[in-house]
Amino acid sequence: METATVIEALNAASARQRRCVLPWPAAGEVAPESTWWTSPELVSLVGTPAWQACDLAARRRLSFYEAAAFFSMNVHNERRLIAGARERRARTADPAVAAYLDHFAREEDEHSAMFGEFCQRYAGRLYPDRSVAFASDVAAAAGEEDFVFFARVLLFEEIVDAFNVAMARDVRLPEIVRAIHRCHHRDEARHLVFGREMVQRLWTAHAPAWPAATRRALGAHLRAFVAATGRELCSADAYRDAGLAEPRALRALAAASPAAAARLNLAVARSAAFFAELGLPLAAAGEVSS
Amino acid sequence: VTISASEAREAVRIFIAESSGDGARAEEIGDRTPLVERRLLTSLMVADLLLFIEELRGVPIEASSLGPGCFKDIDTIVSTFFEEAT
Repeated sequence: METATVIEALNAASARQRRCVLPWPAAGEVAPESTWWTSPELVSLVGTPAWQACDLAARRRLSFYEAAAFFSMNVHNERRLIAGARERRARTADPAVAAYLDHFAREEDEHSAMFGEFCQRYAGRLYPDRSVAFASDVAAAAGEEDFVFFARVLLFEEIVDAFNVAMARDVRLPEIVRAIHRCHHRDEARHLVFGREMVQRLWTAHAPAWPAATRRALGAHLRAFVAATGRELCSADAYRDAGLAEPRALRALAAASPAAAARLNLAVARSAAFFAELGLPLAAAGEVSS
Repeated sequence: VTISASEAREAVRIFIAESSGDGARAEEIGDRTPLVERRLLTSLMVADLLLFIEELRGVPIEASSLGPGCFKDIDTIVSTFFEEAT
């Protein structure tokens, strides 16, 4: 299917999509230790001695704060996606892309409201955002900045979507958590198609003029982005709120664990294959998290 | 603040050298070495650096008010985050 046709189909699908209605329980009904809030296999400390040292109550408590950390991470990243989408909406000459960027920004805005609602209602706050953008992270070759923007959007959404898909169907989790993951996945499925189309389009238009050094630098940057996203999934704030000692050391331990690398590599596998097919391998031998 | 400015200076220098991934050694990073310009520090490393600084300071940092200029070099990082200790 031609890119324009794909994006027109996405526009039609977004226009038909209705907002999610979520079954918010009262804050008083939410007890962190009463159940799982993140699928236990996806808790960041799984595979480390620290997880072995936790009893069931501590594991469930951590799964609650990791849910809040995951949703907070989404809020912060979506704020950057919305800003980037609006900026590109203002300068694109393609009406189908412009229309889709409007849908994209609106849907991301709705997701942020949903994630933020969970954090504020049940965790009492949104976890802090510690990112600071540097203009010099990417070079100034033609098309490179847009390529990096859409490539990062694609990678981030692919990673969080893997968590969404797994937790939307995990019957051990409360219905509100499953509904949030389900709702997010519903829209992200379209965003991922759009992201691949835009990355493919930008690559085709600009990559032939990029020298080998630029391509290598882009691959290294995207690999570093995946690794940084993997570290973001290991929240020192969640460890602290769960009552665990030395949260930064725990974060380093979790992020470096083989289990975390395996989770991340699985989550990003489809995108890694997509980028490799473009001619931009994110890593050798399927390792993107090192 | 739980650490002196001079201790913070050396701790941050070592942290950046170990995190930069390009083989830089701490003794090669001077107080005025342009960290961002030389890509010894990228935006993808900032969250880890801020967590490290929070641990050194013993108090959280409000990152929303920070810009790339706060990370220009070791001198600037120390004056931005550890000025109470100087």
